[in-house]
Amino acid sequence: MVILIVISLILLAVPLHDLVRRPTFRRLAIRNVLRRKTEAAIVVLGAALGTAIITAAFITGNSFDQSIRNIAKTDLGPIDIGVEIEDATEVAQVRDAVVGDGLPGTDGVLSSVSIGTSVVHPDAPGGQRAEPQSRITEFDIDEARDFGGRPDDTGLAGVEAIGEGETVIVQRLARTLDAEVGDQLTVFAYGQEIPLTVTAITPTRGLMGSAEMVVVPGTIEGVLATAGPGAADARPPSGTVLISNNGGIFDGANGSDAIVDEVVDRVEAFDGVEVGPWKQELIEDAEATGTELSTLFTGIGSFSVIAGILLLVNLFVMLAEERKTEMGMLRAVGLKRNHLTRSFVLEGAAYAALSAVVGAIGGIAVGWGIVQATQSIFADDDGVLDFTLAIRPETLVVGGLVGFVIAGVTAWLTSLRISGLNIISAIRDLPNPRSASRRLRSLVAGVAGVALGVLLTVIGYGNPVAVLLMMGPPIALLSAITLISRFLPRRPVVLVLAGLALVYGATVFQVFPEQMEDGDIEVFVVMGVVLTAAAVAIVTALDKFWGRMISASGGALAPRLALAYPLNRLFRTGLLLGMFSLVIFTMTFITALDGTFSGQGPTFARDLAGGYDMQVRSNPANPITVEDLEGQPGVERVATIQRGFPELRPAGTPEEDSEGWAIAGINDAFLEGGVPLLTERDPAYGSDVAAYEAVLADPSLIIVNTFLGGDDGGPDSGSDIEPGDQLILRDPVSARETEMTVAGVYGGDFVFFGSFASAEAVQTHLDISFPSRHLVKVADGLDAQEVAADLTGRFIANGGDAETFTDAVNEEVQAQSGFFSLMRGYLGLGLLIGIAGLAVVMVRAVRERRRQIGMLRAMGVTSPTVRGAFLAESGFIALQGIIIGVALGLVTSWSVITSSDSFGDEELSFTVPWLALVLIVAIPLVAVIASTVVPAMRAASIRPAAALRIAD
Amino acid sequence: MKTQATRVGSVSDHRSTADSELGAKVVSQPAPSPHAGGQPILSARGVRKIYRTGSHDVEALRGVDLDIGAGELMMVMGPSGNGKTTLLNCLSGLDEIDEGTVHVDGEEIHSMADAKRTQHRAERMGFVFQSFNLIPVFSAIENVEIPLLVGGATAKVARVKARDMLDRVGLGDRGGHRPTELSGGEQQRVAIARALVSEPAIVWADEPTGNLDSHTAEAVLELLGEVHDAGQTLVIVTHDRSIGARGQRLVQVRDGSIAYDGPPTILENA
Repeated sequence: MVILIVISLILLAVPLHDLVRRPTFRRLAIRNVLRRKTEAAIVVLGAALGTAIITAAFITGNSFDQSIRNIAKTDLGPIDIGVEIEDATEVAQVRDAVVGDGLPGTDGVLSSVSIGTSVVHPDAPGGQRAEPQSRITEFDIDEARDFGGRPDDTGLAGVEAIGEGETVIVQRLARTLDAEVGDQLTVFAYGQEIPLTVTAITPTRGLMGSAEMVVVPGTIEGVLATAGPGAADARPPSGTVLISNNGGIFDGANGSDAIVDEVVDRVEAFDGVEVGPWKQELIEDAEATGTELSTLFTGIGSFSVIAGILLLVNLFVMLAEERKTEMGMLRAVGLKRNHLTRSFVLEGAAYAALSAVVGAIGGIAVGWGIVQATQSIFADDDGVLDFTLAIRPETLVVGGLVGFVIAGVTAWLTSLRISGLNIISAIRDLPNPRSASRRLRSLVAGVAGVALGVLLTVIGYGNPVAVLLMMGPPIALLSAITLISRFLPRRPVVLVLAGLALVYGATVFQVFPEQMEDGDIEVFVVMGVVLTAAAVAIVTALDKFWGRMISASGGALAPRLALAYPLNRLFRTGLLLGMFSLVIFTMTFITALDGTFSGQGPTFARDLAGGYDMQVRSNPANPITVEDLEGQPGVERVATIQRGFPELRPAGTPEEDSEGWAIAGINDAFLEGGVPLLTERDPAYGSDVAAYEAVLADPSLIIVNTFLGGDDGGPDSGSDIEPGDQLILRDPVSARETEMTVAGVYGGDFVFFGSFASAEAVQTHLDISFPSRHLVKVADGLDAQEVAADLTGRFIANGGDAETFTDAVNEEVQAQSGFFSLMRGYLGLGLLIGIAGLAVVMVRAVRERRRQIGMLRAMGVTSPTVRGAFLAESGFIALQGIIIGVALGLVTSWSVITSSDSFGDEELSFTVPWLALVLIVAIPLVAVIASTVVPAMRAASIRPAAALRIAD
Repeated sequence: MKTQATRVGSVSDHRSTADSELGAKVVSQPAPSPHAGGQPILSARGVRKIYRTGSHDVEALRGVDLDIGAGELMMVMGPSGNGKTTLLNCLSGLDEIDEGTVHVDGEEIHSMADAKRTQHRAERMGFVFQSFNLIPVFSAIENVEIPLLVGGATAKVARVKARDMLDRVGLGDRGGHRPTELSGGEQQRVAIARALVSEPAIVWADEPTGNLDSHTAEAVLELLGEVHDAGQTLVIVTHDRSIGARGQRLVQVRDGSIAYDGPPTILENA
């Protein structure tokens, strides 16, 4: 922020000085602003949209950060550190060890035991209601209320102690079960039904956020004591010792590291105990996610911001052209070049300052829209992750300052350019002659551009830095145009060099796959700018071709007029095209990705499912058995998976690089009827099935998911994990480490299998033997979805939850598609800039061409022809921009999807989303033409005599 | 029909100093022939034009009666701000009038709808202005083609005719140049070619040499003279007496009325 303030002050220094000390400049600037109030307002709004987009990106980051942080309140409250104990019977001992003679830096220690359950409210007002995936936790409520010294934070303020057969539940669960205080619930665990009466319902907060149902200590032990033989297959209860640090909910987490170290030392004697700084990790995750999303939205939004900059430049150039004669006169009567610059800058600074304020406020509205849209796409059904708008005051300041700096720098640079007018040419309204100094400047700029491009290429390739490698060659090629066209005809030079830049931009991922591998959103932004700049240069260099097309098209005057102006104002037309094509390119790219992924749903499901149709999850404390399922109608075959959560890291990397990554223990039944498709496998295995068979036979083999090794949560080795690689599997509870060899890699993991190893390996390495999931093959001819619904209903007591692979994949694909839609909506703001910008340009064009329109009307050109010419002109520019954007978007997305593994190793078949593309073309085109109707009507209504202003 | 002499008398108290001497002589002139050049192709009666500018109205034309004969070379003169250009605009159909009638070849042009009057202008009127008013994004030949294209000619026919016309004005080799690549005199020649190309009934030229140096102006006037000699009806608005003296007929406009309508010989006596 300090840097932004300093830059802003530098940009403002001269305008502020002139505002106070130079009355002539002040008068010129203010009167020029007020001269055309509506257009001044539109200039401010155009610049404000860019600021709004930037501010909204920051606000989105704030909101995600804050929303995730809120989980610290709802799920943790006073809990800062958690000690997980595998053997719940050791909870009391572990707690004693933790407390010892006192634990410095803490203000509370609480122990609890919990089990997963399913719960039913049989007498719910509308009929029986159930929550298959719940849990009961036992702790002493009186003790828990004082945990951390702040009862409100625990969620238990005002809650009375409970007795046997009673429970306190959270609002979230009460809503699901439609339960009230006094209602009787039935909990299923270890094959038993436990009746519990609700004595209190608490907000979803603090201790009650994670403990959905609280029962009196001893309840779980009692259930286990009377459990049947099936309990041996169920997951045993787990114990936890919770620690509250000194301080509040958020600041208390700061001292966690030292306390964790101390607690680790104190519990060293116990096996199966894991200590973690839960809240600190959560806050770090929140900050990382907030920053990541802020970066993503800023990156995507930067396309719109660049479009806004192009609009500003265009408007300033038009302003300058409109005032060319008077500027020439001002120069003639003694105003120096820098005076002209300063009067323009003063005017620009006024627009920039106003737009910064308006944009920052508008950013709140845009941010709110994004948060609402995101909420509808990603919000947790349970309401655990509740996205809410969060605005930090500094965010508004930074957003406004960034917008001001962008508009201010644009105003400065444009003012410098337009003040370089030739006095005589300006007064006589002739084109500026090419002076020796201008030629020299262009030579210097060309040489500097080529040198910079080469330098960036060398650095980008050597280090490697993807963004530098992306921008280096195009900068050199496009800069070389000014140099080579001194000796050769400009048009072919532009076509060749811009063509090379275009080809490079579209194929760089294939040309330099390794160097481009780590490219982030900024690479995509630069790629968009490179491609559109090159394409616009090519299209504008083809003006002769368009001219011939007009002639060949016949005699109609409207199209001639429509094309003549854009083709004779190539700089301005180029800016407009760039503005449009950049945003359309990004929209097309995202739409093509969306279409491709959405279209792959059935393929993803088939590749993942192997020989099964669905997975069935159940309550670990009251699991569904294979035998239970095999006896059900419609079930042809069942395979069981034991699921664990080890930590994985590539062999040879330090322990801190380990990341939690699920693993599924499979058995022979898993292989019946097919296996999840492998994208890569060790050449030693002749088929995918052979690779899975090898995994079953050898506990040291593992099949991993393609995202392991990427940036998506798995251990990052700096490159993809490949068959033959060695991984270290670490049991977080026992800290035992095992070396595993990668036998193969599979693609999209939409049901979170994680990695595959044999059930024997999972039991050996992680000591997990109870079934976590079952895979079910439905009998031929039956509808898998119907069977899934039937199974879910039949196994309510076991917390049964059956879901077909198709549904699971579709759910993920739809969420992804929803996010793409959000991105498109966000980009729509850039399109708004383009549409509004073109409308403003046409409004100004009407004024600029008033005399010419008058002359045309005098010669008998009808009003409809004038109107048609204006509509066709804006349509022509928009259509060109749209075609460039769509073509580049399709080529780039095709290139990335078919030739790059940026989206995983799966073979994706590129799908052209025709309907969406039609909308991408039609909506902006119609909007542009609609927005030009008013200026076109105004042009058509110009009275020739008035426009010609023939002085008597 | 009201006589010109009556009108002259009614405005004689408002003469400007520059033209007072001429005005005094005008009063003494007999009413001239209304259409010295032949049968009138334009006949204006009682034309009034009022500019409404906020709080007060300005009567720019006060019931003007005027006939223009076919093949005539008529010069319109008068002090600045007295209605010369307004007269041109109203008679040519560029501007609306508040009262009166203007018949061109028997058709009343101000009772026509805008579209029809526009078509009428395209077919029957040509214009040359002081500031050329060429379309800057079109080449010279493309500018000349415009009236033909408006009139419905095919692109090919328009191109041939436009090239011929540019040849006639001596710019056959400059057809591909844009207006900014031409000198002032060349631009005005293009404008004249554009005004003539559709063979209009009347060509209206408003200060056609106002932006030109004397040498170039002379060349343009010669060109216009040749055009008239070829039978073209020409109305030239000018404030230059030497140009006014070249016409067959001189119309003096003063305070929105015709102060004199007769041979330009009076300029020689001024």
